[in-house]
Amino acid sequence: MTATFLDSLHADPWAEQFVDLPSLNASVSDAIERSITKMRTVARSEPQALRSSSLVVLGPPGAGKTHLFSRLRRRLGPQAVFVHLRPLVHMEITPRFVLGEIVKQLGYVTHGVSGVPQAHTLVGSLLAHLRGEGVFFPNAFLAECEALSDAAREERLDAAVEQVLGVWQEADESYLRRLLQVPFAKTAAMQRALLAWLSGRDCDLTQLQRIGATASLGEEMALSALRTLSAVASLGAPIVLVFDQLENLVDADGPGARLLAYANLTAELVDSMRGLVLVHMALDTEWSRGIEPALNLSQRSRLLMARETLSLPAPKEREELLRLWIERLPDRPLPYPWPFTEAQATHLCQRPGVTPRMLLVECRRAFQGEPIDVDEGRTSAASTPIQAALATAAVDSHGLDAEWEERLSAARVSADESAERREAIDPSRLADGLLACGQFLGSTQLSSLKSTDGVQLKLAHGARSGRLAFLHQSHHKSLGSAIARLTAVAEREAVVVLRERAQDLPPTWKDTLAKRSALLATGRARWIWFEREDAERLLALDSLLQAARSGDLTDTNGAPISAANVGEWVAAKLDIPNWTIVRDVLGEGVEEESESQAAPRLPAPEPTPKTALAMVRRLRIASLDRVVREVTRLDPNATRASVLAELDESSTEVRWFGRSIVGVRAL
Amino acid sequence: MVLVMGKAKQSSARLLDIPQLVSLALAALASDGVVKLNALGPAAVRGQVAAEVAKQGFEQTKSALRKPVMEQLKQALGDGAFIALKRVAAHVSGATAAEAKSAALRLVAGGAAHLVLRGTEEVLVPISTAVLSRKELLDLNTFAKQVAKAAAAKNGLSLLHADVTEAVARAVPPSSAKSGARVEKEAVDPVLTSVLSAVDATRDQSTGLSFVPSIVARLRPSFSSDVARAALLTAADSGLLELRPEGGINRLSAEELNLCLPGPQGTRLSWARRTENSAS
Repeated sequence: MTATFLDSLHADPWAEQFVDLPSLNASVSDAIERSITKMRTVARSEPQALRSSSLVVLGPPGAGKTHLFSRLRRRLGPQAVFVHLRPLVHMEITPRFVLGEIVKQLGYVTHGVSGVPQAHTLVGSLLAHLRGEGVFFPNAFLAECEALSDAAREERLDAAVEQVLGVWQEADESYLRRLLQVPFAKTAAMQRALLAWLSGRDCDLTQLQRIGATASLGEEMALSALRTLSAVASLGAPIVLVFDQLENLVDADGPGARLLAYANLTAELVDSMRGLVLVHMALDTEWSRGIEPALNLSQRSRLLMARETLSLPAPKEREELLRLWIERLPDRPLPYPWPFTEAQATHLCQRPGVTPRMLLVECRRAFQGEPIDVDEGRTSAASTPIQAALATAAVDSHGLDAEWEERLSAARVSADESAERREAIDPSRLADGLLACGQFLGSTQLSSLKSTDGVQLKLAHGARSGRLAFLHQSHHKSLGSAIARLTAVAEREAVVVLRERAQDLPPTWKDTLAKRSALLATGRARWIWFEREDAERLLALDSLLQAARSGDLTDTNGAPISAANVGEWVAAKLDIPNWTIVRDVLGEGVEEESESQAAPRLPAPEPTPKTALAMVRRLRIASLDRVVREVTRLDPNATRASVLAELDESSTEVRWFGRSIVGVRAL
Repeated sequence: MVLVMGKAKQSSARLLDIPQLVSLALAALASDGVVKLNALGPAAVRGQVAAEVAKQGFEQTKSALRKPVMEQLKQALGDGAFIALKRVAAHVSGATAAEAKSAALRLVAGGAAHLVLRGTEEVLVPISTAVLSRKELLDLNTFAKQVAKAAAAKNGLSLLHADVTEAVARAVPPSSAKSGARVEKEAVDPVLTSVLSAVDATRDQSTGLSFVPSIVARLRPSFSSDVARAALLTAADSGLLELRPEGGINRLSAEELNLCLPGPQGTRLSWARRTENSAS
């Protein structure tokens, strides 16, 4: 037994470690479960009458909204496909974004079926149902299919496609065929390619060849793909799409375009999808005061088919929760209520307004031997509200330091996953992070732009203004098209193009390189290669500010930290104006350079003591990214440019394979 | 060919995990009350899975496993259901009408439920429901004979209103048992009564929440803010109310902040909700 669960103050929807009191808010989880069961029943008995359902779950911070997701995932296992989606803080949610998130999470593991991704569960349940078998053992059924010869399996999949199309003619046949192939992909690379195509991401040429496609799934196909996915899943394992932390949709100055876009999108999902179970989770106050009043009657009638308000734990439930947690603590010298005294435990169980998260905070403090003041509540009742407000406002910078590190680590994991899948980091999230930076840049204004050419932002910085575009495309043709469209824009206004360094343009992409040169030749364009570390910071900042708005940040004493205080901490500690990507975007330090310079910038760095060379010797052969990453871990002052400079100096000892792979010359 | 089939079976068997199948079956039983035997998994392991599940107190029939019928009925009654005996089978999963009826009558015989006549229907009700005792029924029956005699008379015979009231009161004394409906906890303190009324009056029908500053403002002509807030705390301590921390982002004005109660860990308790067992 370990006490690591005490560190998880904020529920991780995918965490394996899970402590639950099933009776707490059982009615809410039952309501969602009923929706899922009903969806499956109607899909089988009256497929033409199948519609989607929508349920709103409200509660204060720490009441257990995200915990509900974990509970249902565990309880239902392969009986449903769970998708957890946090809205973008600054960008609008689009059907493509939703599709991308759903397919990404189809790759996550189904609870209770070790190592089996949700995509397999979905396909296995569907095929089992179509063959008249029980749907709750999708893996066993897939194993049977896998044992068939290729021809027999193809025949079975063809029959399944025909059966589905016989029921729902509107299903997209090519999408369905590729979805059914996912569990039977011969190699991991092929499975990745299938999922990349299904998610609507831009696939590179190799991926397209692997799956026999001629082009990626276009933006205009996103709704049709969602329609197909939700309908076919409902026959076996319906998709439960949970939108969490919706309070982030409310702008400081009231409902804005993002909330409208969200309401329109979800209304569209309810109207045109079959078999989707939509769950919307938000802070109760923000929903009733900020979100619901901004919805029109038509949107309300679709989103608010049902509403559930989470209860706080009653005294008996609090005691049960404490017992559950305490039983998990290692080396308990005494029985319950240790590590509390009897008076402390009674007080915690009786005191009004205590959420499960607050209980967990107190449990952690008691376990760590920190003093627990049983009179804290009543004494602060006697103090003035202003004093209480000031107490709330107190920022514990240590708490935020740790929180920031945690978010950075999570961003690194996310970037690693993208790198493993050989795909660009989600440009919507990056743009969201960059927009978040905008709050800390004084007179600089960043805003999102509606554009069909990928993710674009508007930048106004002093006298300068222009358009920022994230180019994430993996296929040379789609990238070339995007560059050509930006070239047309650059005739009218300044353009700043951002692309991950890891997504370098190979020399064989001659046409794309020529288009890039044409873009830069307009004289109004700048091309910025950003590093993975830059991207990780943007993702971490986005996540931190999102959590702050949702009341999910607490200091080391468990007191919530307001969004304003988090903003102050970010401004004081993170030094955002000096982040490399921010400086690059604002064009600081590039005045002396030609804006049309095509080559990557190489500032003259101070050569570091042969760390990079030593690293290459150790790794023997590695990508430049890997070398840079390893070196910057050892020497925080090192940069990509300094590593490059050092390796160039050591040309007698290192050997380059293109400009991305480097090895020792002895190889 | 034999080899291929052998591989297939081996592959399936490797992927099948009896404890996992048992836990899936238990999950299905927990949610549906019944699970068909052929849904327990491949035929080769069905018997083993069924035996494991049955060990945990579930009943096995020819084609399914189910929660014990009497348990299902007890659970429905525990939730406050009144069940017509004719339709009792609709309230249990995996049982025939005859089995369900028999289980219902066994519950009555065992003193775990009452069977009452409502109109022409025989209805199964929870044991906590107030019903007439045998003696009260007989007393009422004696009086009913008098009523029948008066009603049948052709000479204008009637009964005194006071006599009828007295006879009924004697035969059916006020019940101390729960009626089966939700019972409002007695709030003897007039301040508490006013607070609960104010909570009801300011409740947002859609969320079921009442805004604490609105409650305090509503009570202000009669009670000071401090008295109203103290009464809210008393109501919460008594389990009549749930006080909830503010979750909004800078939505409270300074005045509203003043009217809210201080909560744990520096929060403000800005919302109140009648708890399930006390809400009207």
